[in-house]
Amino acid sequence: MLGYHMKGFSGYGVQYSPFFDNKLAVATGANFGLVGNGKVYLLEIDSKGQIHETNSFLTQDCLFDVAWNELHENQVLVAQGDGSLRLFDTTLKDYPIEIFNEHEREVFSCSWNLITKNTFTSSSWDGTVKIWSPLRKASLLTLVPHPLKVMKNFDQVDIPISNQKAHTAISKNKNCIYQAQFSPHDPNLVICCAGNSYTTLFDLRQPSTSNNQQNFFSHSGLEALTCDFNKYRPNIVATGGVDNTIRIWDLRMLSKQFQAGTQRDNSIMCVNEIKKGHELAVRKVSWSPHSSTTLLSTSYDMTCCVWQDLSSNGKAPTGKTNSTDFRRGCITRFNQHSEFVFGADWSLWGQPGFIASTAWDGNVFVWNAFRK
Amino acid sequence: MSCQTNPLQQLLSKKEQIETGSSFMSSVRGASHQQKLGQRHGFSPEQTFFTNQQGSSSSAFMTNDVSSAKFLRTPSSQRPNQPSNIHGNSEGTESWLPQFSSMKINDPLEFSSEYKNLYNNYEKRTQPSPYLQFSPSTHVSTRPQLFRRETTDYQHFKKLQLQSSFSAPIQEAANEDMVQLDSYFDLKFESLENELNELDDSLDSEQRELQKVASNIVESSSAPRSPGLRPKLASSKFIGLMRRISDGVVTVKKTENTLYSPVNGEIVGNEYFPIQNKVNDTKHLNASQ
Repeated sequence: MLGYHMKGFSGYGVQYSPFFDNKLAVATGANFGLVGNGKVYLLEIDSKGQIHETNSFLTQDCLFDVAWNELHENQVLVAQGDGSLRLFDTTLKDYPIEIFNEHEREVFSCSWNLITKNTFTSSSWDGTVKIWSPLRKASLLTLVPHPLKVMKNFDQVDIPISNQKAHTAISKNKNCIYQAQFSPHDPNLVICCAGNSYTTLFDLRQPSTSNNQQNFFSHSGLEALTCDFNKYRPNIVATGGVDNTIRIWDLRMLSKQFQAGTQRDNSIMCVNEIKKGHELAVRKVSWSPHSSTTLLSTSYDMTCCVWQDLSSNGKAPTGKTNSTDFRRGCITRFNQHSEFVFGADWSLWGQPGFIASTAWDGNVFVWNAFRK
Repeated sequence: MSCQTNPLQQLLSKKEQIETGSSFMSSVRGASHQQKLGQRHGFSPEQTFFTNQQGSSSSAFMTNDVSSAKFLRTPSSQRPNQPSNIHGNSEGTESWLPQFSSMKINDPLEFSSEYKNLYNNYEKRTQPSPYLQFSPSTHVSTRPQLFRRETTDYQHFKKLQLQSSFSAPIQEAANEDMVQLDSYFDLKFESLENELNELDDSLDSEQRELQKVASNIVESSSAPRSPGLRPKLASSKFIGLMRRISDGVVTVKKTENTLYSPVNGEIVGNEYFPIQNKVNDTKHLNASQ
């Protein structure tokens, strides 16, 4: 395990460079992201296994997410608490090279399109998802999810510790979109998850009406904090939320529901779920870039976990769920962090299994999920 | 006199109570009414109160336990709550008096006269000073009760005035003292009110919201957890910070983008560095792209 400590800053997001195997970008916020500056760290792992800071940029407000430009090895994008997105050139100092200022509230996520690499997406507390081009100051498209039912109060599960500012009343954050992401299989598909417990799939080819999307109720009425597309199975997504559960969904269920037209309460069955895999809310899920059945999660319970999706063997459904396993399919649990773990990313490089994780304790750890 | 148990005395005092108190009976019900009354008559409730402070039972107003004080001194005054009955019988009291005065009650439990005298002396010696009694904190918190107490004991008060052997000059001197005392208390009260207001103003809605959120987090973090998570939560700096925010020791200073302690004004956590909202010149970068 390698480590780097960012003094005075709490890690929110980390990503491996898509161009270099030893470069990391980390988005952080002062005072646990409650108030104060943000800082984007650019780290490099040397041949001796030491992590060094090569550059950093201090920002006006806390940073909640980071994404490398898929077209430019020196550009990194951050999502800022003041509603702006900033694109930095890692070879320059002090200031960004572009500011994208449209969101009205905190921007919680940003991610690059992996197929048409000239667009990126962002999601914000203002209840919108925006599609941007790095070459334009104004957004290309604004998407607003229209869940049919705003809230369902299911059984209250455990503690709703959720985002940094409003941990308690879920209803207050129901418009907050915690994460948005392009599909790695189709450049026109964007998935997002929101505080109203809905996960929404957008089709960018459709005009901006409520027909451009499909919503499904994903986390028992509690906030859905994270979602991710499986990199090998185009129809499979994973979501995580304040109900401490990771759920795996097959998007084909959505189209069936849509065609049938009878059951319109937006509740589809998940194909697999990892219940009580974490003791507190699940903050991030990320499918492995090397395996179609391996999933990484981070949580407010201060651990990261790597899971085996037991519902599939990579080729066909197995008919099992993770509840059938006594460890619930857990491969590794990483518990070196001493505060809530927010960001984690799989390394594309080298032996499969390297993971970088960052937490509110200000640490960035690089570890291997499969090395005992 | 405070410990006298002579029934005649009791009746006398009862009668006076009726005479003096009946006109105020209606005002007994509401403290606010009594306040207005006091203003109309040109004396503040405090004034009325303090002019009689030399009276042996004035401490009834100064102590928090009114009922016990009254009980010790003049048992008769325990009944101001039954005005209608007393009032109904008041006409016949004259004829009872000789009868009652000739009566001798043999109370086997009665204290010896020597003890009573000693107790009286003790009572007089231990009259509390109003200045000592009113620490700022008790002043503020008990101020509404002070008014209420005074109204209920008004009859008691009047009676004491009648019975006491105060001479006019002493009363005047006491009044002068009272004015000073009054202004002292007014000033003190105002300053404390201001202090309280400032304290309230210092916490704006956002800070209160943060405090509420923080206490919720603290509360939820104390829920039973697995052995692995419990120590981590207990030693978590974030939970520690939330605890301090919920206690009001730390709050957010939005104007300066920092967390600070309203107690000593010190910045908690990271200092804020203002950053210019500008972009780097990227002409050469675009060219290379």
